[in-house]
Amino acid sequence: MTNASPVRPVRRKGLGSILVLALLVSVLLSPIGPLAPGKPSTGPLDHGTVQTAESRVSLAHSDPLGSFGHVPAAAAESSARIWVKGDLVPASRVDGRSTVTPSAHASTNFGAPLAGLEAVGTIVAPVVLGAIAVVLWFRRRSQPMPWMPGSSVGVPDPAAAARATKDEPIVLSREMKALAVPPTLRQRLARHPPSLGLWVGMVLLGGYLVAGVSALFEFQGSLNALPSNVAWIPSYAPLAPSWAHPFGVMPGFGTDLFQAIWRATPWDLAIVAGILALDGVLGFFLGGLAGANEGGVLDSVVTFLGDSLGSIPSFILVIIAFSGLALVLPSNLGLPVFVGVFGFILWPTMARTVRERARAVSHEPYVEASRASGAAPNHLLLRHILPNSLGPMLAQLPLDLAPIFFVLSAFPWYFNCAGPSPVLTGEYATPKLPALSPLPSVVFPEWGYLLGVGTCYGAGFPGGVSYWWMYFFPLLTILVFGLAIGLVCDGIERWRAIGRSAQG
Amino acid sequence: MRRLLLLPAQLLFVLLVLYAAITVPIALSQGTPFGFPQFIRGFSQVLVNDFTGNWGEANFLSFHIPWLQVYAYYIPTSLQLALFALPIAAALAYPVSLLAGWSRRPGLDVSARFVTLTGALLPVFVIGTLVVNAVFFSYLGWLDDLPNQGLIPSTSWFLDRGGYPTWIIYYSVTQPTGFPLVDAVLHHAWDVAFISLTKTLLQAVVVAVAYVAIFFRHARSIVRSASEEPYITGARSRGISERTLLWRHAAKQVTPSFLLVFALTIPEYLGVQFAVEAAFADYAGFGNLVFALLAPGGSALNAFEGLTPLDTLAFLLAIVVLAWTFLVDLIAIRLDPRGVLGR
Repeated sequence: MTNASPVRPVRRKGLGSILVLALLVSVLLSPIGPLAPGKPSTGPLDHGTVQTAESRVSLAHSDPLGSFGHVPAAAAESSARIWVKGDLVPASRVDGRSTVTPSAHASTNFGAPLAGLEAVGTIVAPVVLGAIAVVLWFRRRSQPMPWMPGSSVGVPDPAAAARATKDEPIVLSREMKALAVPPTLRQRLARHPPSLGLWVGMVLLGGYLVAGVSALFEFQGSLNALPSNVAWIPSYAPLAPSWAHPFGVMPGFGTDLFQAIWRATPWDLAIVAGILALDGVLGFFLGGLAGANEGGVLDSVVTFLGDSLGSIPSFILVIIAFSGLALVLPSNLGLPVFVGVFGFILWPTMARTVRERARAVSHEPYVEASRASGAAPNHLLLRHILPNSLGPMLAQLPLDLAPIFFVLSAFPWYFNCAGPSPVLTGEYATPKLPALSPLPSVVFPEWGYLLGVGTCYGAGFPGGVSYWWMYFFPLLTILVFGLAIGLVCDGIERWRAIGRSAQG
Repeated sequence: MRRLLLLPAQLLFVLLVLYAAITVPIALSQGTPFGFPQFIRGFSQVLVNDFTGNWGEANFLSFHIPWLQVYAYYIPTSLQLALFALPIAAALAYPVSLLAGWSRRPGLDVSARFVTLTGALLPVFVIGTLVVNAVFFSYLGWLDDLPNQGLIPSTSWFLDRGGYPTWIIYYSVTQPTGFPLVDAVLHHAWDVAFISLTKTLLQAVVVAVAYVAIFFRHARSIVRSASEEPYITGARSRGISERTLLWRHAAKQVTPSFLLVFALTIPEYLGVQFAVEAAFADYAGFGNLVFALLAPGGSALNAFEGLTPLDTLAFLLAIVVLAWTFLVDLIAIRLDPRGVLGR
C-alpha cells in the first residue's frame, strides 16, 4: 500500500475570485465608495425642516427603505420635537400641530436603519473578505504534505495513481487517518467542551448583539440622535434612576440614559468591530509573516514601523492623523475614517506581539521537522506558524479596546468640563463636541461620548453632590463589553491550548 | 551598534509621518504646496526661534516664545509627578507581578486577568475625577485649598494669605528650578511645600495604580515562564525554599525583562500620566498642554508656515520615548547580555 492517497487536490478556484468580487462590491457600496446610498446628515442641531406630525408620518410610510415596520401615528406624534431656547421639548408641551423636526429625522429616514450595519460593512467586510481571500490564495499555492489527503507528492507511478483515483477506494489504517486528518471542529468540541468563561463571554456578547440589532428595529428613523427631552432638566436637579428611566436621566438635552445606551449599541459594535477587524487582521498576518521570515525585508519593515509608530502614544497619533484627514475628506465620513485610522495605528503593536510568537514557533522542533521533510513555506505558514501564533492576537484584542474608548470619551470630557475653557457651566448648559470630533453631531449616541459627558455632569463639580448614574452606567456598559470580549478571546485561546496539549 | 543607527532613521520616519498626517492636508486645504525639506527647515526654526502664532482659544497657550521654552515651562511639574509616580509604580508592580506570576493557586489567575482587563478598560480620567471628588477635595478643603491649579495651592489660598509670592510667575510656573516642591523648599514656604507634596503624592498614587494594571499584564507571563525554567525545578528538588527561589533566583532573572516591558509600555505610561494631570486640572502640567492642544482639534491645527503645535509635540514625545527605549535596552543588555541580544 502506498502512503500517498490518490485523491485529487481540491481546487478552490472560483471561491477566491468571488471573494475578490465581493470585496470590490462592498467597497463600492460603502460610504467611502462612489456608489454610496444616502449619507447620514450632520445631525439634528442644524434644525431646518418644518414639518407637521402628519407629513412626518407620511414620509415614514412612503419611504421604502426607512420603514422596516410602520411607524404608528401616535408614536410619531409623541416623538415630535420643538426647538426652544437651546433645549428640546416635547411638542405636546407646546403645541401639537406644527412642530420643528430636527432635520436628521427627515433626511436620514432613507438610510438610518441600515446605517449601523453600513458602518460595519465599510470596514469589516472588506477586511475580513480580504483576509479570507489571501488565505485561500496562499492555500492554492501551497503543496500538501505527502501523507495528507489531497497530496499527489510521492506517488511512485503516475499511471497507478490515476488508476487508483478511478477504481480503488482509499485504504488507510485508522491510525493513519487519525494522523492525517485533523479533527473537525465538531470532534474537537465533543472532546474538549469549552470552559465556563467562554460560555459566559459568548452569552454576554450575544446580549450586546441582540441589543444592537433590536435597536436597529426599535429606533429606525432616529438611530443617529440621542433621545432628548424627557423633561426640562436643569443641571442641579437631574432625575435619578427609576422604573420609568432605569439608568436615570442626564441634564442638558434631558437624555434618558437607558435609551441612549441602547441606541448607541449598534454604532459602538460597528466601531469596535471595524477597528478590531483591521487591527487584528493586519497585525496577525503581517506579524505572522514577519516572524516566519525572520530577518527578511518584511520583518525589518514591520519591526521598524512598530518601533517608530509605537513611540508616540496611540491616542495622540490617532487624533493627529484623524485631524489631518478630516481637513481634506468630507465631514460626514468622520466615523468610517476614524475607524480606519485607528485600525491602522493599532496594528503595529499587534504585529509586534504576534511576530515574537511566530518567531518562536518557527523554531519549534515540529516546524523544523516539517520543513526538513519538504514542506513548502506557504504550507508551514498556514498549517503551523499562523495557527499557533493566534494566542498573542487573542490576548491583545480586548486590550486594544482601551485606547478606543479612551479617545472617544476623554476628549469630549476634557473639552466640556476639564479644560481651561469649560463648556458645561450654567443651569441649562448643553455639551459640545471638539471641532474635529469623529462623531457627526453633538447628540450622536455613542458610549464613550456618553461616558465623557456623564463624567462632566455627574462628577464634574468637585466636592459637590455626585450624580453617580451619569458616569456609572456608560462605564458599566463599556466594562462589561470589554470583559465579554476578553472572556471570549481568552476562552478560545484556552480551548485551543487544551486541544493542542491533548493531541500531543 | 545597529540600534544606534536605527534611531535617526526612526526619528526621520516619525517626522515623515507627521508631515504626511498634518502638513500635507493643511497645505491641500489651503492650496499652498509645502515640501518636506521646507517642513524640516521650518521645524527647526519653530523649535528654537521666536514664534508668534495664535495657538488657539486656550489663553495660556498664547505665548510669543519658542516652543522649546513653552515646553520648558510645562515639563518640570510633570517631571516632578513622574519622579514620584515611577518609584511608587515600581514598588507596586515588582512584588505584585512576581507573586501573581509565581503562584499556582487556581483562583488567582482568573482574578488577576479580570483585574488587569478592568484596569486597562477603566478610563483613568474617570478614576482621577472620582479621586479628586472623594479624597482630594475633602482633604485639601481641610487645608483651605482647592484641587485645581496644579501642584501648588490655588489662587484663593494665596489671596487669603496676602497674594502670590514673587517666585510664582505664571499659573503654577515657579522659579528658579520650575519644580514646585523644590522651589517652595528653596524659598522656605513650608506650607506650600506641604500642599504640593500632598497633591503630588495623590496624583502619583493614581498614576501608579493605573499604570501597574498595564505593566502587570506583560510582567506576569514573564514570571510564569521564568518559574518553569529547569534550573528552578532543579533548585526546588534540592530543597531550596520557595521564598528563596522567588525572591533570589526568579527575581534576579526577570529584572531585565521587566525593564524591557517598562521601555515598551512607556507611551502607555505617558498617556496615563497626561490623563491624570488633566483630571486633576494640573494646568502647569505637560498632560494638560497635550490635551489642550488635541481636544479643540481645529485650533491646534492653526498652522504657522505649515507647522502646527501637534508636530513639535508628537516629535518631542517620540524623541523622549525612543531615547528612553534605547537607554533601557542598554541597561538590560548590561544586566543580561545573553537574553537581550538573543531577542
